[in-house]
Amino acid sequence: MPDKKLFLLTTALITIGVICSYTLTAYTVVLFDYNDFHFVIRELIVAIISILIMWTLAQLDPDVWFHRLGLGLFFGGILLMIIMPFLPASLVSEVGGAKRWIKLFGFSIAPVEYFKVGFVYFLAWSFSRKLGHHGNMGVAEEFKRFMPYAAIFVIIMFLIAFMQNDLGQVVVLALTLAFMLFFAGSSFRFFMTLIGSAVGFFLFFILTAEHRINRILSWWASAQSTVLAFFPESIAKHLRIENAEEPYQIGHSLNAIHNGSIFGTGLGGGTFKLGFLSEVHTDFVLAGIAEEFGFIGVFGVTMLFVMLLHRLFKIANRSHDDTAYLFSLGVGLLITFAFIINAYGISGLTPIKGISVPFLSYGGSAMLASAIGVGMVIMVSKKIKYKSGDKK
Amino acid sequence: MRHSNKSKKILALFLVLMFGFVIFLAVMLYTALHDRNLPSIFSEDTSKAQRGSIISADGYHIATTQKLYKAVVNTRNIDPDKRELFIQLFSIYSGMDSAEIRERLNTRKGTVTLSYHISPKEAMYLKTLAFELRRLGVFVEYETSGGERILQGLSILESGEARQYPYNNLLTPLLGYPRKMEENGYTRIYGIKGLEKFFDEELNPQQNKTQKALRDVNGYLILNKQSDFKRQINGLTIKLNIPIMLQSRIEIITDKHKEKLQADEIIATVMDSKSGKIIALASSNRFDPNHIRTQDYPSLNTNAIEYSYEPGSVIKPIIFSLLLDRGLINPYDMVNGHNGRFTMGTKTIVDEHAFSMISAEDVLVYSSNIGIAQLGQKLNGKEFTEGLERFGFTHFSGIDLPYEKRGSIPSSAQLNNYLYKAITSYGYGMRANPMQLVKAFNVFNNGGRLVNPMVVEALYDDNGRTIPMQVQAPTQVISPATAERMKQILIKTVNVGTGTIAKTPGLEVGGKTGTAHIAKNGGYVNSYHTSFIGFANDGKHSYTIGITVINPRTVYFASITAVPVFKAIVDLMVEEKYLRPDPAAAAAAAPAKEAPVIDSL
Repeated sequence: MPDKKLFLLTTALITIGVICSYTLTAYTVVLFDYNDFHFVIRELIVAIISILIMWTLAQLDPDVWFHRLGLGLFFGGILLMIIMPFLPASLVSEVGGAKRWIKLFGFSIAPVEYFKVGFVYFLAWSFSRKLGHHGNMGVAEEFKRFMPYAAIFVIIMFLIAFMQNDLGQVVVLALTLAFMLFFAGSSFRFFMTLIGSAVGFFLFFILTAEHRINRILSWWASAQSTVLAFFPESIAKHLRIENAEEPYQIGHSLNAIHNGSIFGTGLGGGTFKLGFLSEVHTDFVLAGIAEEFGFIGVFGVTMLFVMLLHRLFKIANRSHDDTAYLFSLGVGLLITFAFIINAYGISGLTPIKGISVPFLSYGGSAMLASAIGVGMVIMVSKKIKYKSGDKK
Repeated sequence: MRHSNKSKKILALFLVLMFGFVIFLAVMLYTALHDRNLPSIFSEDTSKAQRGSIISADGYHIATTQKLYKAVVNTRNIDPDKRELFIQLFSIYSGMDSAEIRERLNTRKGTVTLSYHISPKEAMYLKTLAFELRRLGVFVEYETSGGERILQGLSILESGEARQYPYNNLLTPLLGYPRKMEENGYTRIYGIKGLEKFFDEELNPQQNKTQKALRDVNGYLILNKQSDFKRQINGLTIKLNIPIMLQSRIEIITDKHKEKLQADEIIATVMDSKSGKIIALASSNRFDPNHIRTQDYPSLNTNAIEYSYEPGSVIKPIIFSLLLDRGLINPYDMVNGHNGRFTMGTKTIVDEHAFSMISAEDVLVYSSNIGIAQLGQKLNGKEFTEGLERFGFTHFSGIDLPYEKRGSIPSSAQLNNYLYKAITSYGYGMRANPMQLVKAFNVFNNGGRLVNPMVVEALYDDNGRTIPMQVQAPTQVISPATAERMKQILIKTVNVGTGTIAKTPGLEVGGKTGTAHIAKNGGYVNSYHTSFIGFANDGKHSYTIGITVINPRTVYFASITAVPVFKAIVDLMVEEKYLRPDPAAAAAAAPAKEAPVIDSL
């Protein structure tokens, strides 16, 4: 039996995404003189395709299609990302010097979104074959068997972080990789070593450039009031920067959240979505939801993600096939990390990264790719044999 | 199964991630509820309502208001690379010379007003431009010394309103003039004199348009059912009874005669006898309310009501009608003319034309002071004052104009004295304004009924709804029979008496002359007020027409100063089809013109 709940949860999120693509683009369509339905029509078409794809994938035989699709996405994605910089300008959309989209028959495709799902499959497949329990082999040994993946990851990082200038995606992929590695059988020690060195690298990366330090300071300006509220005053006073000004986008994101308060301004009633928050239908979709549907709306959306994650992990837990187990886990992490990084960004907790919220942010490739990922999990969920007494 | 404690690990991971979600929700709840200074999410758009127009009976806009706008821009916000683009586009949209714009922009750093006198149409274009400039990224943020980041675009703001009089001195001084007042950076118009003053409250804008609503980042309003909207209610439009086609030509007549007579001023009033509508109120002394000069100051008063004087012989018919109405005299009673010189106590009364015996009727026809002085004795003091007051003397004429001078008459006690009776009978010792005289004379041409003169026909609001003027019900002053008798005597006065110049074949024309010395420094000097108050009727229409000539210098008798003005107006009204002479009578009486008979003092 394919997992019906997972399908319904995803469909619910997709539906909310379509609504957001209408209400949150009210200002953008006026500014660029687009048709009122410019965004919602496109998002709706993708939404319908996404739901149909999930449905179709759920019908396919996992023994045949799981592997083909997974590797297809991985190699197809990596191939497209390699050739993208060399494609003529007529085929590639360039934004701010970064080539992220391939234009094809009037559609823009972001290969990285599909690649992420492929990457998770590749790791799941490869880990399940190559990696076993660490069996106290030592960090050095573990590092040695991790080396090929590290090499692949460096290539990927180069393709995404430098060629596409999309650091956010790399962070999501890195975190997913680290956690999958741990769940594939690495020791906790090795896992912590990886996380520790990543944090170290990250700090080094920030401290070596002044503009990155400034960015952190400007982030702290907006985050301090929230963060310090949870500290006693004796500690807080040492951490506070006086007269600091919030960055424009974060400031308006917080304004939007505050304006929405508990119950929101109501559908279509938001003010800060009207040009104050320039990316409200993409990166700041959660702030837009917070404004129009209030904390209640944000809570509801978060609960949908929690339930989605719960389903994905449940399937992972019940899977007898290691690839399916790691893949389900990976898809769950992919979606959750993207959500959390974005959510912390718009609420001022962490410096903002240009990463979109799965299913909710406007963008066809992200929605379609996430739907494919979930669809593949639904496909493998058919193979789970529930013991009697198991809750479904 | 290789993953021995897989479930536990997954559960642990799930809990860790749950913790991440909880932190997010906690922060969201904190932000939603914790105090925060939001920028104003409302914006207000106001549009000032305008002062109403004054339009003539024939639909010409005599006084109008134009709203003026100013264009303000902060030079610090203009992207230096796009400054030239700004100048060129602003020049195209506003019609201003680009060199001038460049110069204005260079006057100072900061907020610069590019123009104060932008018409509503240009303002509309410029508002579109302001939006386009924003889209083209012409404006950039700048940082103040205090670290504030400011972004202002091109603002098109209301700077005030300008009162315009497209026909310059037409209808002045009756029209009046306004004054500009600065209120919070907005120039407003207030009426100071004339119609502008009298109807100031009605003309004034009633309610400004305000829209308060949620806004977008550019301050554009989001109008929905929650937005607060007050519609614009402009001042009322005032429609006059006066058609300017007639008015302007009568003004020309007064101008011509003023020059010919070297007079100080000529005032002409034409009133519809039945309704009291003033269809022309002209003065030779006018000014252009668009540009009032020092030498215009004496002309600013509407002397038709603001100037009262001793009317002289034009009072005689009023006294005569009072006597007639009370049955105290018969028109055919004979009166001793004392051969033109008659001493009453200490006062000697003279007549310009000497009579030995004269009928009471002819006392009016030939304007005998001696005759009316004797007839007037038949009224007692109370009857005298009451009678004059019933005709409207010493009362406001009820005309819709401000600052009227009511004039004066002797008290009842004084008028018990024979000498007061004598002098007042021929119009000395009392004062009246030209409008009061026209109103009083109109009684004779209106079946004995007194009506108030009205300059304004009605007020109109923006939706075209009419607010009619309050019209006083006519009062019966004398019996219709007395009025008819008086009318015949006044017609006779024109046909054979002092007003022969006014004779117009085919029309019923009557009236009375008056030539009065001007009193100066306690004595009468050799300057005069001359008047002719009369009427002209055809079968359908009847008009009362009053002429006052102040200080004519070349000649002074009313019969050759005021009467010709009257005649010119009657001829004009025939030409303009206000009066249609009976064709048969006109043809029959075509030749023969009698020599003018000189009025008495």
